[in-house]
Amino acid sequence: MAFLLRRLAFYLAAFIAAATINFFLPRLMPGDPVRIMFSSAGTELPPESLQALKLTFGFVDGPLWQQYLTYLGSIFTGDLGRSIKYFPLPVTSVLGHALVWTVGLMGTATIISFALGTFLGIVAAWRRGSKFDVIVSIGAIFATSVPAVVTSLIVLFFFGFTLGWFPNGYAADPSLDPAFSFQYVGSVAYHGILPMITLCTVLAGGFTVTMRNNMINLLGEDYIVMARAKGLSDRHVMLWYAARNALLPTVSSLAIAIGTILGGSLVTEVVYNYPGLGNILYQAILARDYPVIQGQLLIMTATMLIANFIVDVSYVLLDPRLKGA
Amino acid sequence: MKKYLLAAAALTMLSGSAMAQTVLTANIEPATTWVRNFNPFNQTSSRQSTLDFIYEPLVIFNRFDSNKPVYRLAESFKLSDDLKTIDFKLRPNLKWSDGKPLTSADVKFTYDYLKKFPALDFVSIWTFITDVQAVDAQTVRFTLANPSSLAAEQLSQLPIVPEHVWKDVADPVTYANENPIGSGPLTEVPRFTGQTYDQCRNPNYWDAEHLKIDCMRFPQLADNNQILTATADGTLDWGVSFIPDIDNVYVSKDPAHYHYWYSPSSMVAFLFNLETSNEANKKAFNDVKFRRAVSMALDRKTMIDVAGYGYPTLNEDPGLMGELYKSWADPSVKADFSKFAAYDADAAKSLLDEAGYVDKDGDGLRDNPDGSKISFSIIVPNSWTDWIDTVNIAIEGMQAVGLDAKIETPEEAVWTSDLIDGKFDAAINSLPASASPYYPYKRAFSASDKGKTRFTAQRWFNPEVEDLVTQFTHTADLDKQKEAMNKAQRIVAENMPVIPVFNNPNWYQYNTKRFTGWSTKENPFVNPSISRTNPARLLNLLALEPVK
Amino acid sequence: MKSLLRNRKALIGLAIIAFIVIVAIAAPLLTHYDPTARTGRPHQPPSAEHILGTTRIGQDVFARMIYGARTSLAVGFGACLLITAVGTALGIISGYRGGKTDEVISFFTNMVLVVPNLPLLLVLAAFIGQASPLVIALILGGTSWAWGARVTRAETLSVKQKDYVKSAEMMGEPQWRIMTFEIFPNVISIVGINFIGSVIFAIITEATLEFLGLGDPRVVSWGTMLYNAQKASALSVGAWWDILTPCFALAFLGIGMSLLNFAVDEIANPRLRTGNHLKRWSLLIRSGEGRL
Repeated sequence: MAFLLRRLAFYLAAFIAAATINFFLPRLMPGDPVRIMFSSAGTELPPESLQALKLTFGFVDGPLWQQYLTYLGSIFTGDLGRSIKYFPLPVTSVLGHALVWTVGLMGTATIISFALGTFLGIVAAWRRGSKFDVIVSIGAIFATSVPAVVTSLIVLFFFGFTLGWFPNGYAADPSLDPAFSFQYVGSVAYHGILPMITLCTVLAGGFTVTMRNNMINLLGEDYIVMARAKGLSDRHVMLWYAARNALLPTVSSLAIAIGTILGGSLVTEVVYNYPGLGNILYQAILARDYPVIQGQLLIMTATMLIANFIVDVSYVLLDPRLKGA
Repeated sequence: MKKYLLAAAALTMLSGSAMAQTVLTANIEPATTWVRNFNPFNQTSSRQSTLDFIYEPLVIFNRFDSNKPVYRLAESFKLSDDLKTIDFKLRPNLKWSDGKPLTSADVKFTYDYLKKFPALDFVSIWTFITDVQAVDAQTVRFTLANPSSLAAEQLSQLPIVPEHVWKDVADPVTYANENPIGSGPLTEVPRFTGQTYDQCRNPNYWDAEHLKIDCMRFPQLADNNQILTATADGTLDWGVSFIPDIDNVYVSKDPAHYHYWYSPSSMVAFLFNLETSNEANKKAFNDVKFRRAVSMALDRKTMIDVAGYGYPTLNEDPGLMGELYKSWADPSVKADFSKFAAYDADAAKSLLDEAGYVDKDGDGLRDNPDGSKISFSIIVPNSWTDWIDTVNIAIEGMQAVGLDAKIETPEEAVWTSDLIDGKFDAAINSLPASASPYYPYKRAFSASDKGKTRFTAQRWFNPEVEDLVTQFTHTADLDKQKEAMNKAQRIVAENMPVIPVFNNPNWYQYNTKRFTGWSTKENPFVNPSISRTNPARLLNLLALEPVK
Repeated sequence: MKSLLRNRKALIGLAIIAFIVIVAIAAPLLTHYDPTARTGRPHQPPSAEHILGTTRIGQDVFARMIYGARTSLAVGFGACLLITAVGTALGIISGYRGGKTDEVISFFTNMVLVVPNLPLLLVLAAFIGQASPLVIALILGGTSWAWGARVTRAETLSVKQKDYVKSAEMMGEPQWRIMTFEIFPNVISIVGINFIGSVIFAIITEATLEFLGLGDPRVVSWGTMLYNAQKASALSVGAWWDILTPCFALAFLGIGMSLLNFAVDEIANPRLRTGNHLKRWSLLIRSGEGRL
């Protein structure tokens, strides 16, 4: 219990620190969002109108420390302000829409990769040294060592452009209205296949290697040998003895992975023009959309912290050695 | 994507709910998601199909036809002889899209509204006028701050909004105007999602008989790659973007129907900061011979062909008229000064030698006559790759004549602030296209704008030019205007405050598979660009009809 | 080290890396083109004159690839040196000294760990603007040392209890000597793994940042090649050589490093070995005759 409370206090402190960094960093970036909006449009506001417009966007008023305090207060009320680029949409609305897509894409990809990777890892560890193991290990190496940007571009090139089997972007066919209709959901799935392939390639490898290494470490333990001596079938020992214990560290890496869902798919989203959080953050940085940048960094940090906390809790629950601490 | 549209169209027809509507698919702006904002005063986040299509202008001046006025909401205007007041007479029986009458009261209301909320006044019209009165139900009278022959043009820029809707809006700056009540051809928004929206026929449109399109559809396209795909597969009927290698990527896919036409638009020029903090550079920059030599070192044709894929239009006019304002060009100015704006590396070298810019310290680079080192960077926004390529070619040229020139690529926001604040040595910049050369001259050479806009970045001012530019607005006589412009041109050409290289293309792709009547190179009756900087896009729309 | 050379994966990995390094060093000998100069017509497909074709503005793609190798390798190794140095130092110090020092350092380490990496890097790179490869290496070094620190600390904690450390303490050796000469050599395998992992991370992240346009477009590196190709819509106009060249270059280097990484993992933990000389041993295990 004390352990958990200490961790909780730490997370709170980390959150406040992160929020402070979030506040100052975008403001230190050179450039001014209102000017940006005009320079590429080829139109220019006369200086008087520009000044009036800036005032209404509200980020020139008040001394810095006052803005900071308002910002801190607003986090806890959930009011993250209005986006500048998508004015007057509130930040929560901009991020909310994107969140759905990112969680859908990245969440599904993570689950599939976890399942696939773990399974491959188990079997590869059990059949250590066999052709299967070599293929899987080498495959996993390839998959994790190639940058996500490269994987997405290559997948897009071969399947999207050259073969033309899949669409080149978007989350769903733009002429369809979002609805829970078969047609729309089907379109979403169809458009999601290429980004999904990319993400799974990038993620599965990591899970495979981790699981395989954990399993191998365990296979020498006494209780495994004992189980086999007792005459239990290979498969039974593999799954119910070895895998179950190897799962704990893997679960913790899964939890961390969930925490990084929100940022992890950024490049893939940009390449496929998927309207997820990563793409929104990237566009917001280019447009100096401070409220969106702040809001997003905050949410990402909070998610990471929560994921870490869940891991801590699960460790306490699963590993009796920690309960007494 | 085309397959999906056809399938969706087929399904729509099967569902029987929609009548056969004539829908034109267009792209005006890139977007990551559509935000439902049709506030016509909002220049940064409202949809760019709001002005002209939802809110019709009073008058449209046709730049492709000597700026002749095409009367829209107004049926006439009259400028007083002393150029200090102007009356606009609205057409009779105009209605808003909700059926209520559109009268001079709405015009007066709009302008008073702008006075009340200066953040909405995106052309600062209240520095131009001092009063607006509704003389009768159809006539509005504006009183100008200074006499100006350009009053009608200035006052046609702002949208007129309905008093009965906007008087109850608490905060017009944040008001999204999701269901607009307008006066233009396409005011209804039956469908709006993040990925696409439709803008459809105004049931009470005054010019309905000329409108043969029922709806315009705007699919969301995030970047050039996406726009390229949508253009090449025939989804779009009307486009406004940069397509690389257009003949191969677009036209060749369907040469009978896929077309483009790039007339000259905004002017791109290189410039030096005449007030740079680098003293050595400042000496060189302020010498017109130095500027002329640099101008002659620039291989403009290569910039156009390689960096611009051949799309831009050459501009070798030191008076800045170029193709765009060629009706205002003074041939004697051209005869005297045009040689300083043509590519001639040898002439550049000799001019530099003659003016004393030789290599004094033996490092292979030219120095000032007094020996101080000349070394400068040209700033260009880091995401505009065609400009970056242009600057690289310019640098090749400058280095070939012995100048120490480099490139720097700050982000767009930083480039803009550096230009405005004067924190740079050299840059590439552009001046938007306008109805007459009055506007670029006013923008670039008004001393009062120093430090406020990026157009005065070069910080060159000449009281005579400013005076001539003001004189231009004090007369409605075309000959007198030409006289003033000729004199101003001469001074500018002689001093070469900016070095023009080319005019940007007026982006315009059109597809004749479903619609005909487009303004084209062979039949250029109006500026066909669908950009919101071109009010004449309304006229192009009205000229279109579906292919039978 | 000998075992490293006998491991097949390590050999292949090292060979790949060595090949790339040699190509990078020998760049001027392999091509007479200047990677930043316009030497051909825009977007020409591969030909005898330009083995891998030309870019949008007419630069030779092959030349850019081999000169770009220099930048990518330099940033990769440079950043990771920084990451490893900082991480190792902090890990050993906090692991060995314990107490308040440990608490403070661990606090910071955990803080840096929970901040999402890529978004923070994006904001930093945009903040700095025109981030040159040196700057990218620095900010990578500054933000990514936490994992290494944590892992090194864990290893230090176990090494701390060993006899030779205890005896050095009893003999009165100063702390810094103990950390440098007793602890450090014994955690070196962890440091090695950390090092290689960081190189991969640094190379991938540099390429990603440049691809997103936050790098310096004047620099010749694989990441900026990707950026320029994407901006020129290389895929859409059919100039596949422009964009696939840096893709495969990055993939190739990544694979080499990963093979090495995998091999070092195996050396450090013998149980993970799957080399052919262990096959007999594994067969024995499978038949239940021995234990690992």
